[in-house]
Amino acid sequence: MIINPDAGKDIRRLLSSASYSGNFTKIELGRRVTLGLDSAGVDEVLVMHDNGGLGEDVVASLEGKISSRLTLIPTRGTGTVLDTIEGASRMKDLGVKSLVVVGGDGTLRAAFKGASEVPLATVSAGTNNVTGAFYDASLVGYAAGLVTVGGVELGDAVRRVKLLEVFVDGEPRDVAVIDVAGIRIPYVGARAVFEVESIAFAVFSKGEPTDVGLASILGFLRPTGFDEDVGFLVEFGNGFSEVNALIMPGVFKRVGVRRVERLDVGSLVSIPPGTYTLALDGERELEVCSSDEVKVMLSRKGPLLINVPKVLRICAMNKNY
Amino acid sequence: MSILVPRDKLIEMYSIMVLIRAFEDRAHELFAAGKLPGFVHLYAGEEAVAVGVISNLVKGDYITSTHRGHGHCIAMGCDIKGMMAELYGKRTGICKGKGGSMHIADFEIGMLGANGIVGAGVPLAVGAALALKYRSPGNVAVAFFGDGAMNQGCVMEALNVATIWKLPIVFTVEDNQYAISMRSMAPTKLQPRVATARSFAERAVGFGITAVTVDGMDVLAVYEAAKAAIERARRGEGPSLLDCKTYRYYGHFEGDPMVYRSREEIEEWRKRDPIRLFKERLIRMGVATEHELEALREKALKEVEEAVSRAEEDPYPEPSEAYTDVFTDPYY
Repeated sequence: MIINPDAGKDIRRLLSSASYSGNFTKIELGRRVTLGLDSAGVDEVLVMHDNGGLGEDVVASLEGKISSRLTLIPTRGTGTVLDTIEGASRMKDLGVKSLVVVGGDGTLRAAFKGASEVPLATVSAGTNNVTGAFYDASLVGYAAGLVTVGGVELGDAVRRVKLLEVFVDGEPRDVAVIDVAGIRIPYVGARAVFEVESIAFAVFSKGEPTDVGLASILGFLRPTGFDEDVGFLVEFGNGFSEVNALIMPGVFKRVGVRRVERLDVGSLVSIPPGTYTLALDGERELEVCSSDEVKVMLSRKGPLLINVPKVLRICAMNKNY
Repeated sequence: MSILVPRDKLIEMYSIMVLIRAFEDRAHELFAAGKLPGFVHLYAGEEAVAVGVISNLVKGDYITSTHRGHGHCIAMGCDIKGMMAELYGKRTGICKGKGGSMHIADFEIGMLGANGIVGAGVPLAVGAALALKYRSPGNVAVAFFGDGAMNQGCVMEALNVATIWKLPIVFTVEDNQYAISMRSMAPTKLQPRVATARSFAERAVGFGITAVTVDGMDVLAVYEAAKAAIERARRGEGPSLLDCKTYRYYGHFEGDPMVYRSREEIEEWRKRDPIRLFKERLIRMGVATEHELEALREKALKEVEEAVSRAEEDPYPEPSEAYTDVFTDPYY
């Protein structure tokens, strides 16, 4: 388990009705995940030592009180996304069978970068939680525990979702699970995307009307699930359509759409040249200039996501609980 | 909220950051050489916080500072020569040589003072915000304070009253990782168990204050968050808190042997030096060339050298002036 101490604490609290995702809450979520894993019969739970000490708190509070062995996994403690990538990578090397992240889409993406072959589940504690869903953390832990322990055929309850691979001048530079957006601001700054007017285009792998963030735009324009082998390039402006999207919690914005292009899995799309910051899963990450040739590929190489209700249902039907 | 920063503003921000660094590096040398009386606490490494926040302020706004106040002074536009003379204790200092490093102030430009007492500037900023609410709606106050101050009673009271009165104030925590020699997380217990879960923003949320965590080594990240918080305050939407994660390069005070932290830790933080990060970004954005930015740094060094030369030559206050400007008129 990885708890991201920084998830759900950024500038969007000042610009929307987004809640502050506090440490106390995250520790309780972490405890519930651990108790769920324990209840499923997991032998050992590895918990990342994060810079905020949240994982350490979870371990200290449950050690010796549950059947599962609890082990803290150290990282360099940079206080950045690198901790999650490093922690996930170490856990993968130690042979974990599943990984639960307490955070938002950015945390899941970082965990995926460190452990792409490990099934992942998210406990929603970020601002945008497109990859997660609001189930009690105990049940997310329990589902991940059932995946870990095995013994029942889970079929597509654990399935690999789509991925957006970003290439700059032919070289792979980064990945996103949900969306890659070109923001007309030439620097990363506070990372979050909150000015609709600044978005030039976005490439989506997924977007449902129930999503928050940029995915909400696709959600109302062309609802697209993880299971569908398509994605979309959307250019913003006037002329084609307009949607009322939930850009941040409580902030609906009317967004003009100039052009929509359907993408099949395996296709590579060139993004309009210009000076942008590329936002990956809703956070400005990559600064590109007009001389850079940027392409995005839609693939099926994304995270192995644990579908929590499906896993629990299959196990219930098989009396595997 | 428009966050696109004009080119001139970006250059100005960089110029102030290198001026702060030049001033602090020189003060470090001067103190070691025995030139500066009293204590000196240096701001090098934390420039992105002062500049990112103060770049959003306008005439009529106020700040209060800490014992580590040179960066805030310079970002507010205090005269460098007057500041250096103040550190020397000279009569030409901006407080006539009687404030020194820890009580440096310039009320004319809204800099209400550094403060030798940890956390003591915060209630003063709340007072300024209360005055602004009645006398100058649209103006704001900013309280800068450190992670150690977050455990001072007066800071808790200030947070509380700012919420109750919905004051136009932005609380800015400069979490430079250490309260003197103690890890900032150590005394900031949120949990009954291991008690290392640190979050100053979380405490503010407990007071009903909107709070965010900010990368205090990235001046544009600080600028954007501060802009959002300050605009809220100007609109009358009440206080906010910015929890800026940063790092001081020198010791808590000059002469601090720094046995509580490793050289490797300092080097790790220096890899994300706020001035270097900003410089690389400005070059990549095409805002300025390396040569142009180097020229700004050299200009800052020259400006500080001139301030040192003048401070060396300036006179000390006369002994007969020892009590002037020290006490205010109680009936004012």
